[in-house]
Amino acid sequence: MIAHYFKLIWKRKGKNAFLFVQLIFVFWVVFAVFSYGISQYRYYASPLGFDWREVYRVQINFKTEDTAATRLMIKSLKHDLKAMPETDQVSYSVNVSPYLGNIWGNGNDNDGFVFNARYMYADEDYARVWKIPMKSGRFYTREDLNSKYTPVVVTQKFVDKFMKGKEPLGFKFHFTKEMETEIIGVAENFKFQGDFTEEDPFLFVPLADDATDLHQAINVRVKPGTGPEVEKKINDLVENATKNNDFSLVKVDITRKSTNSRTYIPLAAMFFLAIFLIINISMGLFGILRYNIARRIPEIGLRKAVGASTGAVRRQFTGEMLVLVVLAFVIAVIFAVQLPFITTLPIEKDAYFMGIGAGALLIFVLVYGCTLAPSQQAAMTLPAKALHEE
Amino acid sequence: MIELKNLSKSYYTDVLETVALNDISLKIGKGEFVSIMGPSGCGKSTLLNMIGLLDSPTRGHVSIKGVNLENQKENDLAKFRNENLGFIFQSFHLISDLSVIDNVELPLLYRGESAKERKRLSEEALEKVGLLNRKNHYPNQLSGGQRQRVAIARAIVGKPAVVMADEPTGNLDSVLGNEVMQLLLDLNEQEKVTVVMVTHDESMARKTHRVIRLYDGSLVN
Repeated sequence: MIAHYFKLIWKRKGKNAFLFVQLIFVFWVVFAVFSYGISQYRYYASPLGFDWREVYRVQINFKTEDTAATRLMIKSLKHDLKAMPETDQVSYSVNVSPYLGNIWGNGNDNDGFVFNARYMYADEDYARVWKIPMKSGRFYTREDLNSKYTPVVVTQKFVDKFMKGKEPLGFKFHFTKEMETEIIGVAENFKFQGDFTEEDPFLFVPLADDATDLHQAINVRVKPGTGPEVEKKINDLVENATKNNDFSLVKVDITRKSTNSRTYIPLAAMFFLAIFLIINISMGLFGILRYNIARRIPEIGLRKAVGASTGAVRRQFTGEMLVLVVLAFVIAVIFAVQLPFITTLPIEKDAYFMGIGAGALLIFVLVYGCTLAPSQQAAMTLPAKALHEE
Repeated sequence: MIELKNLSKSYYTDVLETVALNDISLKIGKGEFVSIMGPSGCGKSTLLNMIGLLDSPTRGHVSIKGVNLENQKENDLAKFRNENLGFIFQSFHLISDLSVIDNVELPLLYRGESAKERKRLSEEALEKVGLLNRKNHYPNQLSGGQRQRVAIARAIVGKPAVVMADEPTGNLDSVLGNEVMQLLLDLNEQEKVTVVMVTHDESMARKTHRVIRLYDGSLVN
């Protein structure tokens, strides 16, 4: 029977060409939207490795020389912030922190250890502020800073990517030519660039007291239930301590929303484009089928006269359309599957192929749904009446 | 072979009942060639549709080959038509996008025959109507007479007991009409197929075993 459908489609190829091309384009658009959507969802569903709730961040440039007074001011500011009744934890870091959009990267192959990872300088309280869960070992403390090797914490992603078969805890390597480090802890995750980003391998490196220029962000975790009035208190404290107002203070929740909107907006736009196309193709299919059936009523009458059951007539129309969709799908897929091999996709390959599968399923279900009503109409046609229609 | 008892057919609108057939009772024997005649609108085609199970009567019974076809489900009727009845229409009703052989094998497709068997039987039917050499042509490449011969091949490909022909020569000139009529006569004589033919043409009707005349939906003695 499929051969019979195919013969009719082939003979009517001129009439089917526009629909066929339209289906190919719809497949491509749906593949793209689904792949991107699946990829973004997978990023979103993967663990962040920190808790952004109740965290305020002050971005500041102390603009002073590294003097004892500056160090004291930095230290006392942290102390004062921590002394606030609303405060839970306070930490200094560089401007590489969740949702900031800044990245620092380092790679080094000294000692034969090859890595290429993101990193940040952060003080010993950073893991407590951001509630970073540890997979093994621990986050560094102030006491660790006196050891021969600089203690660092890496993420599990770092271990998975660069340390296959190696025990991470106690592993020593040159982070830079001058800095020899020892891994003392493995954090579960640290997807600091945003909810919709891929997690990169990451290192936490201690922030030295004398590196005053690297004290670029103050991360303040307030106690749960703290109201927005705390923002003014933090602002006043920082302003009084630094004697300038050249800083920004924001609740991380706001930065997070803003960062995520950069994904939501194009995703929503693509989604609406796909919906529009799908509605378009649905209406097109519905209209074409109704037209085809109206045009083919004598043929339906003949088929019923020579023994076609109502199911056979219904299958005739759904079958023809599904064969056409399968052909369009094959053409669309032939081009689509080659894409990962000829260019670098901005999404993971498996998400791309899952997108193709999910998109194809949607189109097949949609086409089948659109053919049901007109096909049923054809199936219910009375043969005697149909045979006398011209 | 075919028995109609008190068969009536009416068509209804909101305000009007139109009687197309009125209390028709008749028998058609096995191997008989019967023609149905009458003026336009007298119910000839309606009667043929009733015998051919393409439409259902308002009242009365139809039985074919001893099978009472009253209250049968539509799919059962379709199966019965497929196995026992062949149809020939005035306007041929060939599917223009299918080749001659694909048109002929259509009833076998719904019978579930294998592709090989369909091909064999279709070629055999086309051989009988003298169009085997045109099996890969399309209907628009054939003359009117050839198209009707393809329709006859389609009607007989499933070896039906009864062939219903609705004005089979109506769209043909006299020469081609005679050719088609001869094919039907041969089919009836050689293969003992019962043929029921609606016609306007007295000369064609005279060639059949019996003429049934209709007037205003009733049989005329």
